[in-house]
Amino acid sequence: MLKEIKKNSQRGFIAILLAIALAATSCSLDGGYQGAKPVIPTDPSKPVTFTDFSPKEGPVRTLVFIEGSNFGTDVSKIEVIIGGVSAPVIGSSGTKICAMAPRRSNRGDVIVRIMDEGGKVVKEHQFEELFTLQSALQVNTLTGKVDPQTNASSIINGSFEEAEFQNPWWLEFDIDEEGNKIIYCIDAENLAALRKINLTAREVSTVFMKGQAGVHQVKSMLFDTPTRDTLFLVDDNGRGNWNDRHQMPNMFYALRNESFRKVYPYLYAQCSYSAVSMHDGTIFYNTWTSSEVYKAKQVWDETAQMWDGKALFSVKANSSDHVFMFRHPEDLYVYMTGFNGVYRCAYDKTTKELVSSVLHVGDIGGGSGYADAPGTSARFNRPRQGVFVKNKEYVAQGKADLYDFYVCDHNNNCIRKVTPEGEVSTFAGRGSVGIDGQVWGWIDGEARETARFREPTGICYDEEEEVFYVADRENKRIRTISVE
Amino acid sequence: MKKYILSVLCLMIYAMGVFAQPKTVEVSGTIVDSEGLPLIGATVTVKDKPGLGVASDIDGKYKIRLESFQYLVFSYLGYESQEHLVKDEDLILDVTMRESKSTILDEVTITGMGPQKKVTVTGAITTVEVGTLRTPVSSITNALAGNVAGVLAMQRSGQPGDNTSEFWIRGISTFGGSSSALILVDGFERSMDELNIEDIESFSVLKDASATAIYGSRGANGVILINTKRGSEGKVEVNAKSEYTWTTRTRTPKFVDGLRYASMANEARTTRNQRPVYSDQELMMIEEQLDPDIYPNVDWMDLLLKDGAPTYRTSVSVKGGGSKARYYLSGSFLDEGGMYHVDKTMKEYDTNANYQRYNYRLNMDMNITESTLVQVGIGGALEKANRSGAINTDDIWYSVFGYNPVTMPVMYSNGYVPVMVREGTITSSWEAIYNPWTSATQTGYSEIWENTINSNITLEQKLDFITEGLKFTGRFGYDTYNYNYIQRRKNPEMWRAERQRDSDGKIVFNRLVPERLMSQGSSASGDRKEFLEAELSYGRAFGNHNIGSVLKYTQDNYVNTSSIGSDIMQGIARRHQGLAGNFSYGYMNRYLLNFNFGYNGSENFAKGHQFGFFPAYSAAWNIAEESFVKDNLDWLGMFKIRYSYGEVGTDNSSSRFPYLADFGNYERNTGAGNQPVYYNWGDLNSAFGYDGLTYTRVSSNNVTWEIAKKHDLGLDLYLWGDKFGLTVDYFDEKREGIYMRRDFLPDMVGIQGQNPSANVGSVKTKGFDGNFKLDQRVGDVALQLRGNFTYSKNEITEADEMVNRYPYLRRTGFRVDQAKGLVALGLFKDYEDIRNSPRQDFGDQRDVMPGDIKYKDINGDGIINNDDIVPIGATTRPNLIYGLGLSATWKGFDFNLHFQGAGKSHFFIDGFTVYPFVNGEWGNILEEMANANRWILGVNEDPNAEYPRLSYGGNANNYRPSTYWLRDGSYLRLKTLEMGYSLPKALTTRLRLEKLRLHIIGQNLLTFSKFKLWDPEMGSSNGMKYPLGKTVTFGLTVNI
Repeated sequence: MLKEIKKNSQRGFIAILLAIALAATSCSLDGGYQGAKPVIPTDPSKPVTFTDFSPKEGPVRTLVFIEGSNFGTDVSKIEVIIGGVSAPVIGSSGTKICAMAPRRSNRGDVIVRIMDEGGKVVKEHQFEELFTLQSALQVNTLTGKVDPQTNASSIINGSFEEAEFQNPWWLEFDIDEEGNKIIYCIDAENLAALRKINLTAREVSTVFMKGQAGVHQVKSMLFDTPTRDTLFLVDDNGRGNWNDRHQMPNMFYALRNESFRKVYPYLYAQCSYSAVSMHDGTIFYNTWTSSEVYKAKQVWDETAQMWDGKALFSVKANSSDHVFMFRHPEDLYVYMTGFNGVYRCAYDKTTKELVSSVLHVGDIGGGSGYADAPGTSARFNRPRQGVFVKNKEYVAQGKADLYDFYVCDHNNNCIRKVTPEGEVSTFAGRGSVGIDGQVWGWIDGEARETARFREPTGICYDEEEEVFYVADRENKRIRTISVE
Repeated sequence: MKKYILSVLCLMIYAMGVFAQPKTVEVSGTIVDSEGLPLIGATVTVKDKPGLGVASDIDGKYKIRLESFQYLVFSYLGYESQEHLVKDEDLILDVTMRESKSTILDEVTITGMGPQKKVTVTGAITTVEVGTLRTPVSSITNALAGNVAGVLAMQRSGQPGDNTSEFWIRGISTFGGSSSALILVDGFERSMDELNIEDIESFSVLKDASATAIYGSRGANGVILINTKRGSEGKVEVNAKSEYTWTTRTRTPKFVDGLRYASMANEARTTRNQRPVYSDQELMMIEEQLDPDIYPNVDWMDLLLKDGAPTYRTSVSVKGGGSKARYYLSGSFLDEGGMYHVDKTMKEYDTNANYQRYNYRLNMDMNITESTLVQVGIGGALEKANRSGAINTDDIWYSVFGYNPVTMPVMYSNGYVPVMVREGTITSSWEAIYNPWTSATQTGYSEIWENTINSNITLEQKLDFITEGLKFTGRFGYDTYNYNYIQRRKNPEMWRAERQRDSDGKIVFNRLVPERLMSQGSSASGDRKEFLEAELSYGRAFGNHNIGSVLKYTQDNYVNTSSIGSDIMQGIARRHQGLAGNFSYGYMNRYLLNFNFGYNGSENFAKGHQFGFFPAYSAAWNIAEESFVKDNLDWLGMFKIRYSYGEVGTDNSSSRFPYLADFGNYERNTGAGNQPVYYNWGDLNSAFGYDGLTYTRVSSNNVTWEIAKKHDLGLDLYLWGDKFGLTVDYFDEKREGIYMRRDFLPDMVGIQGQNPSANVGSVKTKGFDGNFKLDQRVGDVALQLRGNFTYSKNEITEADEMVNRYPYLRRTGFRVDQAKGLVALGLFKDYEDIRNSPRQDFGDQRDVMPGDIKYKDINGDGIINNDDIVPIGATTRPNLIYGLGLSATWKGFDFNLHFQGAGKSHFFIDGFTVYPFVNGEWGNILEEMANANRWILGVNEDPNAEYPRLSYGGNANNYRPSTYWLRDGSYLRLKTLEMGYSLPKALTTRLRLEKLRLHIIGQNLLTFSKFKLWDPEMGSSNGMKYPLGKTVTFGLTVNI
């Protein structure tokens, strides 16, 4: 009997348990991520209306908002044409369309087409008011393909659309015998290859690879000033000791009539980073140890049967750094970037020697930072290649020194401008302030407000077209800065 | 011939069998109570025939068939059992049951020496009625706070498998080694976290030195005694209970939406002279979701968390037996569901945080002879927990608190999985932190199995043949535990878009994390414990004199059994040995004296310091037993005053074998980490070095016991029988010789930072605890009101620390883990106010602006710096816990209400959700904070606002511990609300059940506290924890 009791009660018990379990599992547990929001097409039963667009003016890349109703939210079914050029449509809420003012448009008429699911145009509208395109200093990307999957690139030649760079480091602007505008580019710090960017033919080629040239670690290059027929390559040969100065060359040269294809040793000395060739043909180079500046080929070493340089001064006493030198176009002085600052050395045209350096802008102690300020209040973080650009206002004002210096501030991810008076400002980069506080990236657009670089190191300037070219090292691209 | 003999023998045996066949008789009758009313469901069983029995029906009638010459046993809850001999004829036997009269004098307390009448107890012991510890969650530890006088507890997390409470008996009284209590399950040191609550028979807390002395050194932080249920003579009892619980959360932090976040980010920057992050156009795009890839608006919390999660629990137990052998058998299953959403497309495996547990237990008692009892017990738990793969659960909370609504979408519209990178975070300089959805669903999963087996055998031999009252008990226990962990990890390729689209309107993606295919990792660990106890006890009454005495030898052994690697110290078992004794004398339950001692040895100390003798004395005077009281004040059930004093030692030091020195190669920190220093036997530029040897640990020869000197003064009061009961204890403890490292030895001692340890610290703890209950019948309603409280305050009286010219900077004189910080005077009103105030020396002083926190210059030196940090508030752990309960029963209904509260607790809030924008984009903004009275430039410049002027990227002045960020952790909550209904006896009898009860339990239904951001009990400074559960349980209990 007891068994029976158990059996019966068990049955009841199980039934009740089941009921509870059922009640529990029937609770819906929906929620969580449901996938992307579905797009809604325009409703054909209702009219599509347009009320207005804003803003009415702005430079290229300005976001233009078009208001109305029944647009649908599928951006692939919305077309916006500004000045005859298709404008990228970024989003639509059904009552508002967001589009971007395109490049290369010169009219201001705004046309919007709304299509149905099948792609048939349901409504086309042209606004009476025009969009006025304003000019602004813009950063753009010239060339440099990067694999979007891996963010990687290699040394690949070809058209501007196909060409890849490893890590463009140093640029020199040149015009060849046929009048083609050329940029020579040291690809990768220490030179993996010398690249030739033909701006006229819109094509990238390789002059030589490192192994072909027999160089060690090329840090910079320069044309000889008087003739521009010789291209010097300055090599960090790793020989820091004076006693080792004759082991390896620190400067090489290549000749224009050989299309710079062959590389010859020029000087044997300690490791160097840069050199300058003055208008009178005098060459100066610097070394690591004590950041010493040398005048080339001054002392004859009888035992080695070689020319040694003459030590002139230390850029910063008892301190060593990678220092890069840039000649003022009128030989007024030489700027030296290093120790997180820009040093200025006057050129004595009579003795043909550089006179010891003074700090022009940056921290006297060599500290890094980012600050736009005059003189020694300004802060840099590893300034690299710079270029002198003539300022038309200075010409009008009749100033003695007509050139501003534009320098790549490597770790600050921007281009800085240094005036002859020592005013430092940010010329381009560090735009698009975001909540992450990040200042680097690959963003084109208005030079200060929008554009971002990622560790730019090389810069050159086309005076005729007033375009800056920037070796955007970590973006693996060549960027331009110009008024558009 | 042989064949014949064999067949005859066979026949004879058969005949004997026939002859021996006993006659069966039928007995019937009616069972009534003393008023003649029939008793429904009273049980009628046959003595020593387990399983045979019936229950009386609605009219109290019963009928049973049994063999002749057996005893029939009539029993009914609340009535005294009766036995009747049935001879060899059918019989009508009407029985009148008498209500059992139990008085307070019969109430039993479980002590270290076994059950003892409460009236004779002289130590401070709380015995908890197990019924009040009801909790629908997995661990009984969560029921301790506010239910058990003398226990301070807090629950820090609600994660399944990790939601047990931490607790301390009478608070923390040391800062050296462990401060946790000794937990004994069936006499041996075991964890109670995974114990099946239904298996618990008794639960006692031993609090003072006299009560714990028998456990010697291990009992210094108090002892919890849990005994599991055992079988009893009589009919088979089957209990089944099934519960379904729906778990939601007490308080989940709420964050602001994208638009609000973006606007506040702009406010934080513009009001500190920085460029805004978002233009008006961009704010509009966030609001209207025109570009959800670049300007998303995600509610991560909603995405991660379900509204609630289910928990199932079922347990079944069977008990019964006869006078020779008795058994208790139980099994239970628990399944706690996780609160996360899972990716429904993945059906193969579960990434949720689940927890499952199977419990089993078998307790057997056998009387081998009249005087010999053998008890065997085997119990165990199998636990299985599931988690998402990549990271532990706290990291999911880290990410859900960190991912702001506007940084990135859940998934980019092209299917790319977004990821955020933080610089300089938890472990490395660069770290990708997966978003909560990726963490919880896309990173694989990990499984944890835990397996615990407890077994014990007890032999009890009465030695009355030597002398009456002498008894020997031997106990042996053997426990094993193992833990297995297997992780299956993967992650998708992850990307982050550039801040702006390119000129063709396309998104520029940067791949930050490459795809990781499924990979596997595993680990395992385990340990083994062996216990041996031998006890000789003697108890006898000589007229009015009661004498009791116990002598007990114990040893135990604990060893890690796996993954100990090459560490020899890990391979050596941890052993204890002890001899303990007790002598008690009582005169007529009136004057009671007790002497206890423990003589303990520890392997952790050098020879000569290994053994310690720890005596304890206690006495009690039960005034109610005095004849003048008994005669005149008969409503005074018990009025007992107790006092005890004792010393207890503990060897709980953080390091093993501190008396041994250790040697290693000499290394010196050269600035780039530790570098080996060697002796060069070669020449310059051609090194040929030999390492030098040095001490890597200096021996601390004289380290010995940390000693607690405990006083306890207690009062037990019972009035009107046992209608009203009150127990109050005042305790005072001084710990001396707390083990700690000597960190402030002068360098000239020459030990090069390898500082030895010593018994130097000392802590004083004082407090009181108590509980009361009041039973009252109002008509048919039986009411019980009960309450308890525990308050404890400690103070460091000595610690190894530097002399400081500001005494408030020392640890001495303040609580263990005292909160310290600056004293805030509100916010700066204007620049004039800043100029006229002492200099605040944190970060760049030029950054201090109106609306920033103004601090008090404690030492008056005109500078606010770290010298102005003073003790503020109390500690994170509550120093006061109280509970108040009310229960009522009326006919089949029962109702139970329990409030629990905590006080004297303060904690700092900090972290990236509390300090807005302290880490830039990493960190959400709490809605509570955004809506609070906060300082806004030009809008609300209230110097007494609750939150200071916003800042972006941290603010060295505002974001540091001060009274401004100190929060009161006290709370009061409706911990339990229970309603039950038991079917009327008439109905259950028809269903052939003993009892059927349905119940609903609500837990943590209401929480009242000043602190609103998250559950104050967690004591979390940043809320980044799995929230505590708020549960509703439906349950069914069936007894057969």
